[in-house]
Amino acid sequence: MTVLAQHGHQPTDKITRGLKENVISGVIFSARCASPEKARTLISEARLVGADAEILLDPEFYATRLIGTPNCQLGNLEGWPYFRAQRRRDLVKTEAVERVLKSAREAVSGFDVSAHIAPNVYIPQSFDSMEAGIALNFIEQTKPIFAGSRKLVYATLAVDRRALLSPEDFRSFLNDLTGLENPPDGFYVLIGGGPLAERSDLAQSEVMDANVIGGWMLLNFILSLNGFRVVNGFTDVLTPFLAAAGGQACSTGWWSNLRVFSMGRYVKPESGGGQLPTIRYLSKLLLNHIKITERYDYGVLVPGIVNRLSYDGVYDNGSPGRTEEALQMWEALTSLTQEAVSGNVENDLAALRERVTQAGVAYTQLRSYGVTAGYEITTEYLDQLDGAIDAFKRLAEL
Amino acid sequence: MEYVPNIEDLGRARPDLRGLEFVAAGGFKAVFKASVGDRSEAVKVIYIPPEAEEDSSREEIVARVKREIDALRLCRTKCLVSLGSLELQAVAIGGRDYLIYSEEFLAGTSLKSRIEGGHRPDTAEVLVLARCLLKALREIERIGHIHRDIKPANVIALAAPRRPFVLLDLGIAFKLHGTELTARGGGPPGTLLYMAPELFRPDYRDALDIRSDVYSVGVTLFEYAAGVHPLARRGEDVGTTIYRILRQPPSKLRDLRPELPERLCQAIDRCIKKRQALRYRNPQALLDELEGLT
Repeated sequence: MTVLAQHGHQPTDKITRGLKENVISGVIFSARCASPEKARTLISEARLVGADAEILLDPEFYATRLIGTPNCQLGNLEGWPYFRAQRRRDLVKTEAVERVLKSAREAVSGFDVSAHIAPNVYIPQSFDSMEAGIALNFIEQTKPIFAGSRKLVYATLAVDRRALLSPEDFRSFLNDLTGLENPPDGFYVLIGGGPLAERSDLAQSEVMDANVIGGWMLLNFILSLNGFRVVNGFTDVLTPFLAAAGGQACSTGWWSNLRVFSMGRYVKPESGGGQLPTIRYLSKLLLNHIKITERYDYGVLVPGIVNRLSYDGVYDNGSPGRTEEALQMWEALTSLTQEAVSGNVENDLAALRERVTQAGVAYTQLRSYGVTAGYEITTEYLDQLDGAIDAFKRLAEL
Repeated sequence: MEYVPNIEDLGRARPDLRGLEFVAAGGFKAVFKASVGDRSEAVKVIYIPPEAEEDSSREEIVARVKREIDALRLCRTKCLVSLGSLELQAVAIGGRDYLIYSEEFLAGTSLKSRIEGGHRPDTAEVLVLARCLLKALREIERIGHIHRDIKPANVIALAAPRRPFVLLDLGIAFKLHGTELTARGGGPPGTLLYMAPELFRPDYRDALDIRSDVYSVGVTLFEYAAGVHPLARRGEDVGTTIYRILRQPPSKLRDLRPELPERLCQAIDRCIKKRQALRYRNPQALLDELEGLT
């Protein structure tokens, strides 16, 4: 399992340093954050640093559904030739789907990516929907259209969390997906669920739900079982869970909106921005991002909260910069995943459950020392992670 | 089974069939062994009930038999039974209407008989059976069909090392693109104990693909290897069995045959998953999985 960087605004030197310092194995560039020319340059630069790195480009075609909506923020997307508003009733026709795929293929032809990510629509609510049918059509046409590129091609599967909560429709969709006659080489999976509060992390997002995570794990399990490479976007601390279920790559970025996927990222926030978020530290023991002050205070009470990995030094010596914050997060995620995931799904689930238990134990210890602020809210995500393992085991018939 | 023709009546109606012997009957079909020309063949005699007296129309029965014969004609593997020399014909026997045709006669024992006799195959035999069934299934998939009735009673074990097992009976085979949905009222599309969970759904045709056959292969292999069905219990009622097929996890083969290789047991267990997407996507995927196992 590899950890990739999810590209976003203000990358500065995060990606190049991440590749140079081996805390990431690759990057998923964002078409929204780079024009076609800029993307070509970024990809070439990343390739220079990481000759064997997994370098991908998300075409973000799914965001076309927001074209023309008030306050949409589509960045460079409208400069990409395939990124044109399409009527849903047109996209049910295979010719329209083929046109989009061909346009995307031509736009990225010559890019030094490891594999192409093909465009697809967003499945907003249910797998029993017109969008789900259109998405399947995109997936079915992906391999034939990209066949001439001589690179692997991954289909995008961008789904709202709510779709995972309807078991019968989900089951049918998975049957159809794995029964396709000419499938792509892999899938780029995005599960959408908005953050519950501005700049909150995955732990406090709509995705942090046992059945959603269990369903996302099932998706990884089934796709990998059927021989597909699975690359997940915006995974944050779910990385080891998805890896245990069979996901081969997980991607996370430096801002909170690069750690949990939401279509809301394409809409300007009402508050209009403002102060930058607090720099945080990813504790492997707590499976969570904590503030720097919490790292110092909690680390004294429960030393295991501090990872003691190479980037801890930056935190020990004062306030790290944004780049170090990102590098620390990727290093911790890689270490966490390597420790918890061996490739034997049953053993890995048991190891992850133990990790969740140990996180709960650590919070309980903190509470015994009088750290009680927001205890229930803070630890709710652990219940969801624990429940996700049960949900996944049930769904995957393990 | 009053539709089974009297052997003397059949002999009178078809004097070219010599040495007739009754072999088996099921559904509307009876099988006789007979000499056709200089070959010993399995003569299949299918009863066609009068219109409106049965839930299957004459046209459907005729279409199903034609489909079976067409499918067998297209298949090229020794792991499937082959057609005999008697072409499909309509025949009246004892005042009733029948269809008649022949397949090769296979002198062997069904897996069902072997299981009932307490046979306990070793790893090599389970692997040979698995490869035979999967090669047969791969051929059925190649011609765009699914078998829908793979079960121990439809697999014959022969005493021929080059042809150890043969899959029979494409009687309810389904052509994935182009078969009309039959009007057959309410009957299950297969043999209940070996039917994949999705086939119990009223809209099963939407879910129908080769993975339903992969399930039946899995159950057949499991039962042959373990001597017991992975879900059904002896003597229980049909409703309980269906509940188990739909809801309960099957036994693990490794628990019953710990001496078999773990990879083989896991592969067979995976065929019996309730979700189609959790099974092997086609017979070749399972053949690949078994590669190198001895």
